[in-house]
Amino acid sequence: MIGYLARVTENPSIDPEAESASGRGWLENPKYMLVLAVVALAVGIWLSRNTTRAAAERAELPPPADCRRFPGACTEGLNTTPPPLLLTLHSQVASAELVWRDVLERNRLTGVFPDKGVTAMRESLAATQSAILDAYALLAESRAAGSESATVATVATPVADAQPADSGEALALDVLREAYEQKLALLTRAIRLFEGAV
Amino acid sequence: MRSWIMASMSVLCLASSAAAQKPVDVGSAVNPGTITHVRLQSGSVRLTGWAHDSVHVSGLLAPGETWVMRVDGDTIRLRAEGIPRGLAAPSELDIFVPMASALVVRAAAASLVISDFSADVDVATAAGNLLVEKARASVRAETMQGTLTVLGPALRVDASTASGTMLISVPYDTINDIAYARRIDDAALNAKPFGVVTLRSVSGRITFDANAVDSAFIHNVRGDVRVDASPATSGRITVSSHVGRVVLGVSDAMRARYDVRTMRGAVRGDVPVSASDAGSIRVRAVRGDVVVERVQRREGARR
Repeated sequence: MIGYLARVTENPSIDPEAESASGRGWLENPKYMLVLAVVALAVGIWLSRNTTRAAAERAELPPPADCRRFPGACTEGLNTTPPPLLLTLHSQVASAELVWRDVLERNRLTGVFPDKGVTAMRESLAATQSAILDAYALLAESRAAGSESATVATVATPVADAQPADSGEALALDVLREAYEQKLALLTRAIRLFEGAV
Repeated sequence: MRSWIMASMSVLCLASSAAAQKPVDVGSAVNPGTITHVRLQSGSVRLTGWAHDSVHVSGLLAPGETWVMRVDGDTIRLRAEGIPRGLAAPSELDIFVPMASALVVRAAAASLVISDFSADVDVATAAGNLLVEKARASVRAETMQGTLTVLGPALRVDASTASGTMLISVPYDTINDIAYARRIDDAALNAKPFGVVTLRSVSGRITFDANAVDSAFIHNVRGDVRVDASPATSGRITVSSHVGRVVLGVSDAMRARYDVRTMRGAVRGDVPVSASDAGSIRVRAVRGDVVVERVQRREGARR
């Protein structure tokens, strides 16, 4: 359209009707351009709304495991029965996940939740879940290694009063506890933040 | 000619966009100690503490938003209500509140700069950048996706991001540091832990810098962690990461007991020989490496 306007302004002898009729300048016809602009705007709005909805829907799906960074997360037949010491933490995480889904469901159509925040939350949930599964895999490995599991950890503590190296199983349990705690902290923060933002 | 038309159209677009924002310029007196509670949707907002017992808000509101300000008991509530329309220009606000009053901010997608507070600051935004500077009491700061920066001698820092980068720099024992001077002078404060720091992220990079800290807990899942900090004499710094790389900056002046372990990664660099009468640095990595780097630190880095 700008090109058309420029050409008409610079050369008033151009006949718009003749240009359109000849089929050469239809792209430069203001009517067509206006229609095209309206269509483009409508498609843009439709895509934007769909993107928002899709982001909210994706956030509800179980997050896929990150097998590249957390290789243990994709171990087949992984035993994910929580150890007795971590049962409470496991339940707290499960409850927080339910609350988070409820918060998302109640507020997904308000338009308040920024897509970037929802996407970051989804990716972070995937990462924390992968860390939990990876920790379960490490725990299984250390249990399988039995008494030799103390060699699992690389220890670099040139200290006179160093504590004896933890067993592989104790370290793996510690890793699993931290992975659960990290996921719980993330969910708690997200619930507080997203509820507060509405 | 063509460029002239394009320039004219651009000016028209910008003018219509700017015209769509609504100016706001309101203020109110508040009682000393009144808590300030701010709720925002989006845009860029600067919140500054000042020495007056009053609140003042100026700037431009996004189309679709209205500004509400009301006193509710011992709290003054400032709120941008409504959802900004489509591609409209975002809000740009300058808010002044009493520096000695506690501040609570909740935002959906606003970027915030918060400076000069001597009372507690609690700020959270879902998707925006956060900068907290010159805060001298406790700071709690959260953002999901944006960058989070805390600079200054905050007594306590509790900061977290999901994927955003985090930079926390707390010069606790620099000369003329008000918080440090108060701690030294006041016997009651002297007995309390000083510089309690908790930092959490899932995939954002964490950088923590402090001359001396009583207690620091830093945890990351996928992101890297860099720590240039020394524990106080009885202090403790704990760092854990699942797959991220942990870098420890170590200077000659630092004295600490080191306990550095990784399950599936490697420890690179020389872990210094520990001093038995010093604070401790404990690092636990699962699949990531731990790197020990030599750094130069300022004089008086340790207390």
